[in-house]
Amino acid sequence: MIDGVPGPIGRLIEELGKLPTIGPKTASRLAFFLLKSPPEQVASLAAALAALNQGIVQCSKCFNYADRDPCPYCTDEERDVHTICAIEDALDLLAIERSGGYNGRYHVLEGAISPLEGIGPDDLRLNELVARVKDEGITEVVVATNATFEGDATALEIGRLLDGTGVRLTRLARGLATGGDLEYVDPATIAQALEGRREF
Amino acid sequence: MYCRRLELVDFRNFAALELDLPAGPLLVLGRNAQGKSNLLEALLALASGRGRSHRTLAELIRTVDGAPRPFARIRAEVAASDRATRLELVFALNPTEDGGPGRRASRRVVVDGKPRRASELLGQLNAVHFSPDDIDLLGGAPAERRRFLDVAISQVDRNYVRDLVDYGRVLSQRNALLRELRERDDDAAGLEFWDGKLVELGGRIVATRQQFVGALNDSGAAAYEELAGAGESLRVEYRLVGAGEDGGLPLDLLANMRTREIQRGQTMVGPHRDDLEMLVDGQPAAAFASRGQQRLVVLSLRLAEMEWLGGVAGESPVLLLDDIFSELDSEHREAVIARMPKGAQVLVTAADDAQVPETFRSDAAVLRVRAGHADREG
Repeated sequence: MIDGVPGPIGRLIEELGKLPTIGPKTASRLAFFLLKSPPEQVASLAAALAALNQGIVQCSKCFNYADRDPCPYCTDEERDVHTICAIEDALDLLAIERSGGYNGRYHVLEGAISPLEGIGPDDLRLNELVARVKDEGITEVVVATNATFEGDATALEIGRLLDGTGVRLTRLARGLATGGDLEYVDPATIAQALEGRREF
Repeated sequence: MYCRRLELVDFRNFAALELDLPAGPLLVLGRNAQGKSNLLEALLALASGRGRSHRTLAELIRTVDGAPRPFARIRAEVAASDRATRLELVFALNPTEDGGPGRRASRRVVVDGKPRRASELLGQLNAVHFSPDDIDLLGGAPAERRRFLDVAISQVDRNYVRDLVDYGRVLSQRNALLRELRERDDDAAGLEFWDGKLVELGGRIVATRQQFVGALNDSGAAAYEELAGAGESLRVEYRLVGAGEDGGLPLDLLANMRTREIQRGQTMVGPHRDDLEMLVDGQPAAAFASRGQQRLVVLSLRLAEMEWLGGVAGESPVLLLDDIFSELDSEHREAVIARMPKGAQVLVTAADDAQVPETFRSDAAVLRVRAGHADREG
C-alpha cells in the first residue's frame, strides 16, 4: 500500500512497477492515465492481460510462443524444412519474419552467453538445437544472434557443438544499414562491411 | 583550435558564468580557492569528458550548503581552423529509486544542438592540462599513468576510444566467467572466446599506446634536456605486465596464467594492468629524481603531449597550465614560455602576480577570478 493513494490504485502502481523499464514515476503516471481512460478501454486491457497465459504455450521444438505446440513455424510444410535460424529470443523471430527474407525453421536459444548475468551455454537451448540438426536432417544453420560480444560468444559455441556434423553454418552479414550514408558510418562497421563484401 | 566562449552553470564553485575567451594567451589571476583551477577544469572536462584525476562526475556539480544542485552544465563555442562547433556537456545526478537525487552522476552531450553519445565529445576540443598534482604521475598508482595515456590518445583517436570501451566490456565478462569457474572448480570451459577478444582488443590498445610513448620519447626527451640542462636524459618506457620482451598480449601467456587467474577470479594481464616508467639518466624518476627534477619530468611529458596532439590533429591544442610558475625558478619559467606554441590558446593561473614573467604577461589578456566570478581586465 502506497501512502496517500487509495488501495486499488496503489496496487496497480505496485504491479506496473514490476515491469521492465518501468520505474515508480512511470508506474504512477500509467495508473492515473488508466484511471482517467474510458472504462471499456481499461476493461479491454484487463481482458488482454487475463487472456495472456490462457492458450499460449511454448513450442517444444523451437521454444517460440504460440497458440499451439508445435507452433505454426514448425509445422508449416511450405517452409524450408532443412534450414534452421538460431535466434536469441522470440522477438527476433518477429523481426526476421517482417523482413520476408527467410522461409525456414527457427530455434529460440532463450538468451546469449553472458558470464556477467550468469548465463552459460548450459542455460541456453543449445543441446536441443544440436539434437534437432541431427534428427530433422538439417543442412544449414543460420546463426542470427546479435552483433555483440555475447552474441558472438554464443555463435562460437554453436559452431563448436556442431563441428563435425557436416551441417553448413552461416551468420548474418554485418555492415551498412539501408539508407545509410557511408560518411557517417563508424569505422568498425565499414571494416566489417568490407570484410563481408561480395561480387555483383 | 580554441574555446572562444564558455558558459557555466553550477559547475564546481561557479553558479553562473559567461565568458568570452581570447584566441591567444590568457592570464587567470586570483587568490587561492576562488575558482581559477575550476575554470581550467571546465575546459579539461570538454576535452576529456571528465574532471581531474580522482574526481568523480558528481563532484563536478556545485553544492549549496552541502546539498548538491541537480546538475552542472558547460556550454562552449569551439573555433577550429575549418569549423566552429557548439558544445554542451551536462553532469546530472542519477535519480534514486524514489526519484530523489542520487550520489552518482551521468553525462549528457549535445553537439551543435544534437544529442550525441558521450564519446563523441572527444576530439571537439583538444586540451593539455598541467597542474602541480601531476607529480603523482611519477609516484602515484599505475592507474594515474594509464589515465594520462588514455586521456591524451582518446582526444584524437576514435578507434582507440571504441577499443577501450569494448575492452572494458570483454574484461568484465571474462572476470565474471573466471569467478564462475572458481566457484564451479571447473577447467577453462568457455574462456577461449573471451581470451581471443581480449588479445585482439588489448593488442590494438597496447600498440597505439606504444606509438604515443614513442612520441613522448622523441619530443619529451628533447624538452627535458632543454629544461634540465644538457647531460640529463629522460626516457619513458611502456611496461607490459607479465609479458615478454616482444610486446603484445600472446594467447600462451593467458594460458600460462589461467590457473592463477581462476584462483583470483581476475584477468591479470592486459592493458588494464600495464604501466609507464619514467627514467632520468636510466634510473626510475619516482625513486631517484629530486623533487625539482620530477617537476621538470612531468612538465616535459605535458609539453610532449601538446606537441603530439598538435601534430596528429593538425592544430595546436588548448594549453591549461594550472599554477605552473610558483613551482619553477625564473630560468625554467622562461624555458616553458619559449615552448608554448605561438598563437595557441594558453590559460595560465597564478595566485601571485609577481611570479608571472613579463615575457608571458606582455602578450596575455588578464582575467580576474574572485569567489566564483570572473572579470576581464583592460
